[in-house]
Amino acid sequence: MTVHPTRQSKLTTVTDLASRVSDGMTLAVGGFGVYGRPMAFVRELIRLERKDLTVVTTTSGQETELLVGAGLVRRLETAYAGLEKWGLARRVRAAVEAGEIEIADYDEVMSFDRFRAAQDGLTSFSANYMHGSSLPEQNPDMKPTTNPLTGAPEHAIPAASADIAIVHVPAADRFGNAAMPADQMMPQGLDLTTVRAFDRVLLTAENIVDTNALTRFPQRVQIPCFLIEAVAHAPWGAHPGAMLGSYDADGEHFDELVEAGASAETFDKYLGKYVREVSDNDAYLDLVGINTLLKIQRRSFK
Amino acid sequence: MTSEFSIGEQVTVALSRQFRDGDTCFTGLTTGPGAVLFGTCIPLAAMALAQQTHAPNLTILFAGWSVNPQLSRLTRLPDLEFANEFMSMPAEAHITGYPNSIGYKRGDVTVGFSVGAQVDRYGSLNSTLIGDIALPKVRLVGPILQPLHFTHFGREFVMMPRHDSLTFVESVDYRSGAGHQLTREERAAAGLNPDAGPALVVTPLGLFAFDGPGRSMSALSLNPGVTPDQVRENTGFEVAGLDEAPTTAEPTEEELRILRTSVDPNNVLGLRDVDISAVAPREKA
Repeated sequence: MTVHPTRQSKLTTVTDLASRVSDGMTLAVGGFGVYGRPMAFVRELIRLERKDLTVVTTTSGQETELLVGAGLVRRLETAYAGLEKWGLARRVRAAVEAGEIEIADYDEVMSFDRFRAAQDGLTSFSANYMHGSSLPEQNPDMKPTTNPLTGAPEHAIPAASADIAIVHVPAADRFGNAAMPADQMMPQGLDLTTVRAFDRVLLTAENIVDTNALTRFPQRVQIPCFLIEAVAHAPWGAHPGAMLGSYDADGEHFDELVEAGASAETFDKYLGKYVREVSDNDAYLDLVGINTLLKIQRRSFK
Repeated sequence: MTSEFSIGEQVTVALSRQFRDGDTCFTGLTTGPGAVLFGTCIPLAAMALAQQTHAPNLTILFAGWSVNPQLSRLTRLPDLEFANEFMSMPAEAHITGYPNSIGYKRGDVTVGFSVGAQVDRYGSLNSTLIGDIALPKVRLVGPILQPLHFTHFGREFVMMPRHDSLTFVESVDYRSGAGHQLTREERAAAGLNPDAGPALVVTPLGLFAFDGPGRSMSALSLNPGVTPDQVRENTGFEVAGLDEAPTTAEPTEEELRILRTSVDPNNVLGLRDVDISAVAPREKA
């Protein structure tokens, strides 16, 4: 009798996911603003003390603030680095002003288009609206060019490129199929582009569900398994940011994060308390506390 | 005899008269007290007022994704781009995902709003850095959507919560959005709308246009009590037409009634209490 192989589970731990990133790699990070950031993964990456990373985002929020503040980042490609209503990303600001990290500026829609171009297998695309702005001077990766069809002056813009992409989703099965909520907004739309744009895509998920639970509403499963290399369970994995449809941002934690961002020393204390002295995501959630987690969950009820 | 009104209401009414019927207006969600008033509250109220006066076919794109939201039903101003009170606020359409139903680069948006740390004589706006581009003294949030606002949107309305010689400078340190240093001819050669770019600047001191020499900044009207010299002292370049500028027009009874009873009955936008005649304090950098 022939023995057939069984379907392989891609379910692993957050630690194993993070350990797939090595020093010097380029990492595309999902989420938008303070929404849907893979924070459990980011904290694990900091525990693993990776270094010289290039981070590529459409916009950067608290995930980049943590990665830069912990000294993991050499270069950032984005349209925005900040914490929305909580103000500037202070460690990013300090690192740029000290010349410790390099930043490549893009227009925000252009930063979305860089991921779309990667999804389409393009290496570059053209833009006609950089003229008169300082972006090409700040970011020499944009090259002035002439459109061969129209003769118009344009800039060639590089598609996003990354060794590994990481996206946090509401629910996934052990094969990497992942579901999005019905009222899908732009942050999730950008995440869908991200999972389609790179060869190696990792997911963390609020919930791991049985495949049979997903087959009841396959139209919500917009991330099909074949795109995904591995998936890990990370409940509240976007904390302190918001996860649309699941929980709100933890404003008090953001206040603490912003205050800690005042200096390298105070930020180091924050990282000690919430990242380095915490063994994993479960221990982190213990530290944040069930009352806080329930409070931000209830605030997301419509 | 006109009722008493706040300076916030007066500026809102003056701004509302700048819209054209049929405009499609894109406003983001700004943060920080001064920026919220200038970048979010005044534009929102002005757009809704215009819809109920001379521009019934104007479309509001709030935070870029909520189409013609029923602002009068707001009980609290949303402070995050996808805040709950925002998601559940009645609106005619929700723009989701990306790419989406807005043709950003096809000229679908005819009016945009932006806030920045520096603006210059030709209306270039800076939200990215202060100092040297290679090694800035202060790094701010980055260019965000400003490059697109100043080229692909029809007219850009620059909302500045502060008007002083640190923010109104001869030349910005970084052009996030291109002013009229990029000429009509250069815009046309690149396939862009030659008329696009900064069209209006709204500050605590008055309203400004770009009708000066070479499309440089010119005074449209000065707010009550503001003198031409006060503008000169607080601006790092020469503003055309300062001495001839009229006082910002007063709202009519009807405009005030619509603003207070229909646009913002709960005073969620806070225009009634505001005194912007004093230069708003600088945002925490």
